[in-house]
Amino acid sequence: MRKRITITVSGTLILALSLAAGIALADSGIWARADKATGRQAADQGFLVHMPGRADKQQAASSIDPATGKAAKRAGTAAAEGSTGTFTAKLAADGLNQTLTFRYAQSGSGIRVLPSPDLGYELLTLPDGRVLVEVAASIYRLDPEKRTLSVFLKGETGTTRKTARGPVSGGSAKMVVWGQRASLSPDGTKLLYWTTRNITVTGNEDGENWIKDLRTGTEKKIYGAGYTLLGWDAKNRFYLDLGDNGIVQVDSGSGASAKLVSGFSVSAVSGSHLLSQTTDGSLNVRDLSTGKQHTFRGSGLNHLRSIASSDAGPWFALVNAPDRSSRGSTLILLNAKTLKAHTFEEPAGASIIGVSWQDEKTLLVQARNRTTAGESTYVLDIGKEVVE
Amino acid sequence: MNVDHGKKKPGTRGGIKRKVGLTAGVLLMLGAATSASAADYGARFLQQYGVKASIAPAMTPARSDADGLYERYSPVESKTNQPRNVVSGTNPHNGADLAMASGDRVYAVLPGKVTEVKPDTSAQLGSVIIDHDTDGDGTPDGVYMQYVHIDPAGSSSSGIRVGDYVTETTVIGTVDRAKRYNPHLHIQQVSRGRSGAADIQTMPMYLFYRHTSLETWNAGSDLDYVSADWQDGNMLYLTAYAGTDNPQTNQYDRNRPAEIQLHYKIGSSGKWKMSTTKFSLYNANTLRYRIDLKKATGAAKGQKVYVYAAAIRANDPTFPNSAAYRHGLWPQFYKQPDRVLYAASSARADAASRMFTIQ
Repeated sequence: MRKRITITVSGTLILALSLAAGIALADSGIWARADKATGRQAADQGFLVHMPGRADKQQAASSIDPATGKAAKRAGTAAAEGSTGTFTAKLAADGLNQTLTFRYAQSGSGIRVLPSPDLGYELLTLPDGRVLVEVAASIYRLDPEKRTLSVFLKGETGTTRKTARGPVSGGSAKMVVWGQRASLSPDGTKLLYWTTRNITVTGNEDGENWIKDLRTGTEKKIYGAGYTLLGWDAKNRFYLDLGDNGIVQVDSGSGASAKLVSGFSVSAVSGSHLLSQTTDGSLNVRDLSTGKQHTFRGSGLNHLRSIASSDAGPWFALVNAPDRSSRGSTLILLNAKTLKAHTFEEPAGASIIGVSWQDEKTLLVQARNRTTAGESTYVLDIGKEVVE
Repeated sequence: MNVDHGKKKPGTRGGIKRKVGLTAGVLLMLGAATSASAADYGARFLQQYGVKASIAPAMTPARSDADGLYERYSPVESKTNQPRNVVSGTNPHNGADLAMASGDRVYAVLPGKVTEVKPDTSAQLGSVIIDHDTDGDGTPDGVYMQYVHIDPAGSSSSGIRVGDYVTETTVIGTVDRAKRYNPHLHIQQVSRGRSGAADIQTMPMYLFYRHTSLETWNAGSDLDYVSADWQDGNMLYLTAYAGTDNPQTNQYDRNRPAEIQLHYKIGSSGKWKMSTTKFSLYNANTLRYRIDLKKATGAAKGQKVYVYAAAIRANDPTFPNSAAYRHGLWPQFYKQPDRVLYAASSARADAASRMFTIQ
């Protein structure tokens, strides 16, 4: 459950606010103080996961038997701490009869199933420990303790059946995506997923966003075409990045929607704020509880390569290109509530290649050495590094 | 350049519908030639030989999280680096199609510098070419990847533009909505940073993803017709299968071809024939096949044999009435030997073949 953050900001809805914060630019000490792990690590719903990086992939490639094509070593995920095991579960439903392999870590409270894209599926861990698995263009429920897989989505909606095929247009019938990209609302009552089931009616593959009410089991369309899910706010509204069509906010209960950003932006959503950059040198910061928007400038902000947000906020990590044609980046930590920012140069001799939040105070920064190509992950304690 | 005519919407002019892919590979280790260029045989597709190497461990262009850190192995749903019509050698499909959702974010697979951004107005919809930095030192290495059928993230001032340096977590565009084509990402490695370059060629992508698992892209094989090549004595190994969507399971299956033929001639002045010996399945999981070139051709030790292979699927649901679309050939080349089953065009067969010395 995300924390609801109350922000008291007064003034006009759009308030141009330029901050020349007293920034500790080039505070290289942050990297020396941070914990540092070898390889690439990222968080999955707060759980630390070792991801296959360059070295892992190269080792896997070199382990492939040229005659059989089989690899002796996989480039897969692993628990960043402790041991990683595997188990199998049989999926016998919807015309499927296959055995899936899952990776897991033994955590204090039980089994934690690890995301493993190299095994051919996506997954989402639910608060009750069960896991939703996306395979064969649909979503199934895995009980990791019992090691069983079962149907999760209804097999038909109205007159549309899961086993139906899309219209034939001279070639093969189109494959129906019954459900994928599952995401849970902050209050845990609704599951958002994307589907192309309307293809049997429209012939169009742009898809729709659907909600499954986990209390009643009902499933309904909540919004039309739209990808990618940026995240949820504390009011159970979700945000879709529609690329050049902007960013839309959708109420998961009523389906009411509002376009908050027009056109392409580099953007991210936390439970409390939406950040979007549409113009170099400035950043729009929207308070999602009040709807008020501010413009952040300064702190060396130029062109953003990416933004990462924690679920709760208020901190955002901005990967900023001072010169967009140059490889160099700076890391800007921005408190969306106070609009105070802290800017850091990259680790010496390294490039930042990705950032993610383990929790609202712990930032994981993936970096690659520009000479050795070695990858590492810095774990920054924002509470210690940023004193406000 | 002809990128993709395979996913036109129903009713669009030109009419070739979505294709289902034949992905096949044949491998051999020849010390002599490490690659064959267009000049060798008028090829559109550049050969890459070698089984152990890895150009660079690229990330997938699709990701499953908003931070862009978790890779997503979208199914390959195309014939890759092959003419669709194998008889005429026309209508090539350069690169591979990934089954991504409409509006899905497209990420750079490696860091690099943007060399071309085409807005969503061309026949192929929008596209982006990036000169990738394969060793991670911050300098592009002349390895170009083109991302096609996307809305480039370039319509606002914060969008990408030519000259930008991007990272693996930079969104370069979104998969175009169902307009001209059904939504998918077409991705290909090309030899130039501008799509209009007269001498541009399509390169193999297999080596970018040699690390992937059997469950995903079969160690990269889904992404390239020539997925790995390996010769052990007179034994020639290949990977060959047809990727077909299965209406019962809603998955893309890798189906064995009905047969894999070996076409050959002995000596440079020999006559082209089709061997009565077919490739045999060597590993069912990876769909590796092999053939003993000495036995299959009857050549003696020290003789030079010229070969090409044709993997033929039983049927193609996308083009059910056209046998010409059921073939995948190795080596890859734009101008296929016409009427491949009979090797009627010896000149084209000569140009396309690989030479082995029987041991």
